[in-house]
Amino acid sequence: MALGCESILEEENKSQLSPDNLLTSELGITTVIANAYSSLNAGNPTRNFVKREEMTSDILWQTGGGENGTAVSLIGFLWDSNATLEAFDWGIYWNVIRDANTVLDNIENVGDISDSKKQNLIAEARFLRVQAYYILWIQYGTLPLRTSLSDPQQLARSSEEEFKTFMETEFLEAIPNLPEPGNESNYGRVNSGGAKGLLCKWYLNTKQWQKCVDVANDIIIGDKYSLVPSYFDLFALENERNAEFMLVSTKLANENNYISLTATTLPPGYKVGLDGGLENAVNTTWSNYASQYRLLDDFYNSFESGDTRNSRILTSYVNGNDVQINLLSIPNNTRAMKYPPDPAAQGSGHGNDFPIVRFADILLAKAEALNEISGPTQESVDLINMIRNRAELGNKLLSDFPTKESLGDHILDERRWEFWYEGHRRTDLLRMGKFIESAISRGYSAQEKHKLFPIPQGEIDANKLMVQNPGY
Amino acid sequence: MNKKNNTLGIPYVLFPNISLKMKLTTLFLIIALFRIQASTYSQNTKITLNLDAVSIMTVFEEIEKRSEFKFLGNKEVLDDVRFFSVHVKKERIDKILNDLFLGTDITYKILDRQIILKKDMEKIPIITSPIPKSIEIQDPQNIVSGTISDNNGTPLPGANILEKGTTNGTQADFDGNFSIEVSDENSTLVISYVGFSTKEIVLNGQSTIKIILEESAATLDEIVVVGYGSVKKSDLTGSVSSVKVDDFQKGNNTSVDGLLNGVSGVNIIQNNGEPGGSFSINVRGASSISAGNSPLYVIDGFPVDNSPALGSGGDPGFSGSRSPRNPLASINPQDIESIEILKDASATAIYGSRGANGVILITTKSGQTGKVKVSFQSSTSFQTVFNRLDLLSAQNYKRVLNDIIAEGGGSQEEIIGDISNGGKGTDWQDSVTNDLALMQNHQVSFTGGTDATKYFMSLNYVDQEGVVKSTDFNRYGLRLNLDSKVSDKFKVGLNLSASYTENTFVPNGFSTNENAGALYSAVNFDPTLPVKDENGVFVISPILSIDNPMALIEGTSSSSRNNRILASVTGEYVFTDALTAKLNLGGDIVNENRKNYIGRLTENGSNRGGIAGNYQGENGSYLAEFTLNYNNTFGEDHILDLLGGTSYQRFSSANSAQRGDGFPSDATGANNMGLANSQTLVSNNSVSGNRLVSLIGRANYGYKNKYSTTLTVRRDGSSRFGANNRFGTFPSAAIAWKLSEEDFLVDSKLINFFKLRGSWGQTGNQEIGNFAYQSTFGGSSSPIWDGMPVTATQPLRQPNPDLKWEQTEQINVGLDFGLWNNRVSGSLDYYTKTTSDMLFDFPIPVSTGFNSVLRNIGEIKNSGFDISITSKNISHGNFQWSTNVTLTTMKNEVVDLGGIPEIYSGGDFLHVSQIGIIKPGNPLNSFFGWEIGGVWQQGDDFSATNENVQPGSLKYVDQNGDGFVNGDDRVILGNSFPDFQWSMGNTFSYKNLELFVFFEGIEGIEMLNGNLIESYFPINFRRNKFAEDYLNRWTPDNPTNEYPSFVDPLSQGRKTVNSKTVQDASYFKLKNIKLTYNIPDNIKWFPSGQFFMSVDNVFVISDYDGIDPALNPNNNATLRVDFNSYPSARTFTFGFRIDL
Repeated sequence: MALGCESILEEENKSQLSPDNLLTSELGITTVIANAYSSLNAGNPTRNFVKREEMTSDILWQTGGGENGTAVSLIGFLWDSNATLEAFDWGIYWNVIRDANTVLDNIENVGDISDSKKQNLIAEARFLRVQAYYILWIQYGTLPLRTSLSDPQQLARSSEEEFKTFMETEFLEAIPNLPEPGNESNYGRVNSGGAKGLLCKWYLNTKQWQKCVDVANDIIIGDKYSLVPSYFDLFALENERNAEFMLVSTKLANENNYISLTATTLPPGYKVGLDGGLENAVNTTWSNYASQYRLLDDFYNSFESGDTRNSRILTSYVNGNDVQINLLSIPNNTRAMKYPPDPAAQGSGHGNDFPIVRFADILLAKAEALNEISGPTQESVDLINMIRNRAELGNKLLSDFPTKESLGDHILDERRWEFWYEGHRRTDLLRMGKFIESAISRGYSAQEKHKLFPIPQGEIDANKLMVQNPGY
Repeated sequence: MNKKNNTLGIPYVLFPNISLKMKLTTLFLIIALFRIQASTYSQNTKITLNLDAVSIMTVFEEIEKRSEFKFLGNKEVLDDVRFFSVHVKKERIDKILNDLFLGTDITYKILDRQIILKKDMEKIPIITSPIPKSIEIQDPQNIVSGTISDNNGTPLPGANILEKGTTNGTQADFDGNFSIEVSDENSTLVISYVGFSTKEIVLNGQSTIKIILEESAATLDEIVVVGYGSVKKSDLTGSVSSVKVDDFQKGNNTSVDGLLNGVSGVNIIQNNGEPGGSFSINVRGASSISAGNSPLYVIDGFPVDNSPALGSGGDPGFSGSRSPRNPLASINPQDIESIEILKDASATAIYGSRGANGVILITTKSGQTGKVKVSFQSSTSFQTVFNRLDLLSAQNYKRVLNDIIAEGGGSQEEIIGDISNGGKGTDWQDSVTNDLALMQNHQVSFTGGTDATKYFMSLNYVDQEGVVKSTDFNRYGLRLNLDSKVSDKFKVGLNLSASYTENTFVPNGFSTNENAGALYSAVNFDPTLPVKDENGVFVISPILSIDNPMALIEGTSSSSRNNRILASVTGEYVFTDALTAKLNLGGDIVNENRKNYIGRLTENGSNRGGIAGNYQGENGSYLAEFTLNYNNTFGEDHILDLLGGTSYQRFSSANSAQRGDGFPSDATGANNMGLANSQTLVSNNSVSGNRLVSLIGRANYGYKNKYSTTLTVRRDGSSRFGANNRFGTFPSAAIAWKLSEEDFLVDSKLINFFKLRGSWGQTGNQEIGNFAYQSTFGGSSSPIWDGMPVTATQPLRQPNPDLKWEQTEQINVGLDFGLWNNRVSGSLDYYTKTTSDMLFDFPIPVSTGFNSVLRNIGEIKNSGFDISITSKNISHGNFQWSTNVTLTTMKNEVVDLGGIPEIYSGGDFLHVSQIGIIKPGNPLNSFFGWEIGGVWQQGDDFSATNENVQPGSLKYVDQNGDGFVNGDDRVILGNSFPDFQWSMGNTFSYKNLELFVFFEGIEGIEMLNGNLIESYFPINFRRNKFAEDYLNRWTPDNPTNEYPSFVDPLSQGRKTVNSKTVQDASYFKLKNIKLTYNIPDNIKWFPSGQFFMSVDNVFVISDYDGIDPALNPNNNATLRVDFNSYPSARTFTFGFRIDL
């Protein structure tokens, strides 16, 4: 029977693609690459950049909504290895690594492809893999290195050194084969500039100061990027392709890759804003969630007077009952409207592109790295002043910074004003060694273990070789 | 009359079972004493017959054919062994019969056209001939006469009387009278009659006796349908519950599932009270984690695919509905003759790879020979909401919430001002429900036919309005069951049912907030607001991110239309009496279309310019089956029944969806997708299928009606598995021993039936979806390149080419008994079911890019008792009282997870991510969360905790004492498997009145109260709350340990699954009362039938704080979660049935 029935048991799978018909063409491989981008740029991971980097720091907090349940643990440093905090992203970045490995494992089977195109795709896949590892590393530290689908399921974490070597090698081997800025096949895909930008951040956050300076110099000399003259305009929806955004998470209203911060940032009953760039933004079609992301007054009040970088903070609006509401009358209640509502958005999906790395970050990274190498120098201060001038603030002088620490502290402040709502703060505080003390000063019993998030318990259960982060 | 076969006058063959003494007596003593009352018809009718060597039955049939005469009487009394030749020409009937019966003890009586036959035993034949020497003359003292009747005094004509230990016997006449000559004045007479318990009478010299036979409990002799055949219930070797048409729970079920209430071993949970809504049914626990726990349904021999063709669609408010439509809703319950639930492996192994979760066999009514019988049934029901959540009234809401704000909770913006409607506010639960919802159910059936062709035909119409506004269920059904004898050897049959069902819905998913449905909104919306403002616009609250409940009801439209045709044709060929072959060909096609439209009256619809979804689904299933059956008796004692066959079934499904926003007007709803903003249009479709090919074998062997054994095997091949493991073999074996047939019990006055059963077997489960062994890619969400979404693909799974069946091994021991002549009868079964090689989404490191891989790993065990007892408490003249009791226990234990210590399960609503835990040693999906030890009081030692608490906060138990309450402090809080469940049906009848009262209950079961979570961990402060908890909340003046202050309810995070929200859902319910008046048959001017009235869902007693502890909107009986339950209805029904 087994033989006779085999043929009548053949059920053709008509609606799904097989590796044989998908992974053998350039177009097919490209759709797998596309999936990696889609994972990287999906709505929730982007929101979580902001959430986990800023709610654990001195910028942001949250009230209301179902989200509050896990946000309480995040804000209060109460997380544990069992808690599935929405802010912790794990699986989605491993999907990116899986997709990259799928491309790398199969690209040799693609027949009709030029060698340069093949090298491009390999470089792109390797970069996407390294980007995912970077975001994972920021959260969890070093992790198992998966470079092929055929790697064993059970895999131990790499050592600090192995991990560093892997990351650097991947960056350096991918960058030469990536298209120059502007030459990428599609806007939204990585080019060598964006990759260098992230490499610069990698060196910065791993405190490889000289390498950080070198890459920053390479970027600056390459002259592809510049600061957009107006900080306010930099985040205007119509200005999202600009000379400053180097590595961008591209979004489109009402699509799966959207930005969902607006729905949690608009204050209750918002109809039209009175400041923060929302003066004409009348809400007719935007969702407004029960979950409310609010800026801490400590942050709101920290700007130097005249700083235009607070120009996209909402403090006053008119609600649906035509009542004017002053958000400053309630503590810690101003709203970060850095990504202004998209008129095309219906519901919660807004189309603002989200910067992962922008040129200002390279300038400040170089300033910081130089300071770490040799203490305050004019070069560092000049770099900082470029940022300050764009914010319509006056120059700082080298003499304002008697010590390496004082300049470091100022760079940390400058970064806070420059990059709020872009999801950098926790990493910056960690790098500067101030993450735990900052949390304790806000009244939370933060401990050493909180510098890294816990590996999800399910991963530990399923991978016997995976060791939990210390303290959890 | 030619008597060539009958030359001796009275041959020995005439009374083969009567003693020689009797025969000889008869031989010499018979005198025909005919009392012929000839009518005009019989005088005038002349018949011509030319018959050679035919049975006497054939003679009667021929006479009936050629005349209007009808032979009546117990034809079985007639000797059917002899052959007669009759050659008469235009002869009168009495003449023919006189000749025919000459020399027999058969007498007849002609009443107009009726010829009544009997054996003339009333008169002791007079000896007129000389007695041969060899013949003893009967001692007249040894002649016993008497009457046989039932306990109402009705005579039992044709009852058999046998002198025990001899072959001497006779039968009662029309009046129940008999006379028998016995060998000894102390002989024992054995009296038997079909449908009655056999009785033995010791004569002790009596010469006249009056015998009353007790009706036997029909249950032990009824025919029970099993897979690919049927057996007498008393001969069953496996564990099968059978529900006959008369036993169907006498409530108002529009769906077949509802008929199964009160069957032991079956756990039936209504998912919600929605008209046309579904049930989740588990037979004997849950044996699978990932491969489904639903039983296999077989309708008239056709195994149906019971998965819905469509879900609820992904539109806001409708997405996340856990109660998909039930395909069984297309079957009219009134068409059903019986339902059998196959429970143990002996019974289910014949369905092999689909048998592990039990099998439910549904048999529809077949035609009955005779003049057409028309039955018309009609009922009208009035439904009201059975129960509602006890929420804060507008006044209490204002007072309590303002108090909380004053104590530092909420915020100043949230202070409650004036209450609308002159201080009354709005009771939203009232607003969204109907005061009275109507249901009507009409059905007409026709049955009739000849010996050659019989039919059953029915038409059915149901219109059920839901208790929630804008919900409705309609069914139009048609059935034709046809049996036809093409020849003596060949029979064909047709079972055809066609139905059209239409459902209308309101949004009611598991989604929350702005995507929530009407019932969620009705529970949570601000009670101080009016429905509409002065401009007639639906009021929304700027501080509540939920829509107005009435806007959701009136601003949305959703309906599904479902067409189903299930048809099968059978051909049966009889080679010999013992050997038959059967071919069964059939198809089941379900077509469903669903349209959802969210219009501009709603927030979502207004934001997006109307949202429409149009979904099309088709499920097809095609069957070809061939079986051979051999059934024979060898000697007196050996019965052998063999079945062999082969089966091929193919399943296919196809679906497509279009969604879009931005319509120029709400007017066209989802009926013109082309009007949507083309940029928002999304369209997708897919097709899928699987095939199953099988060999079937079964052997039944019975010895002396005492011992029987059944061996079953099925070998299945499925396209769902990879080439390595496509085929699986599923054997079973069972034995049964009727102790009551043994000498030591056969005389027992107490025990009239007692059977022990034991079975072992292996069955499988293959409900894993299609293509799980393959590596494939499908579409995923699009990245934005050059400002446009582009196509992306992702791997759909980590493939496993070694996948094979999940295997369940079941051992069952049971007994069936009948006591005091079946006054009390029942069954008791104990089973253990062990599922190994579980088809299990085995968690793998997520770092591989996959969460899990479907593997055959792990073990789960179920065990329990099924008990069912029927008792005739009182049977006295006109008054009868009988009781049916069932008791079911279920113990479920996860034994092994393939090395994984534990897996969290459930969630994805209300931001609750982990509800249950799957952990070895515990029941599947045990509730897992925090224990609440009370409330923090003033004066407590707050240094014991690092949590953000103050007096009035919930005091979570810090299980590990580390000063923090986090994930490590969670414990198991209960599970969804009842310790036991029971039901009790009582039937009282007096003359033509019958009263049926049905209770049911569940003990030791928990359910997560999702709506209570919202009160304890509000998403917005201003949402409405459960009244009891908030009215009795902790305050400094009311230092209760029961309820917190709710001042800062989120200060410790949302510990949503805790000992407050996981509630005991045990209950005691009076489910149904029905009063029936049966119209007496003897009213000439009025047809027979009945009038009835009933009440469903009379009352419930439970500690559970929800609408109905019997509902489980989560559609997963192993993880009960109550959330926005569509309320069940209390239903009052009035109806009648007339039979013409």
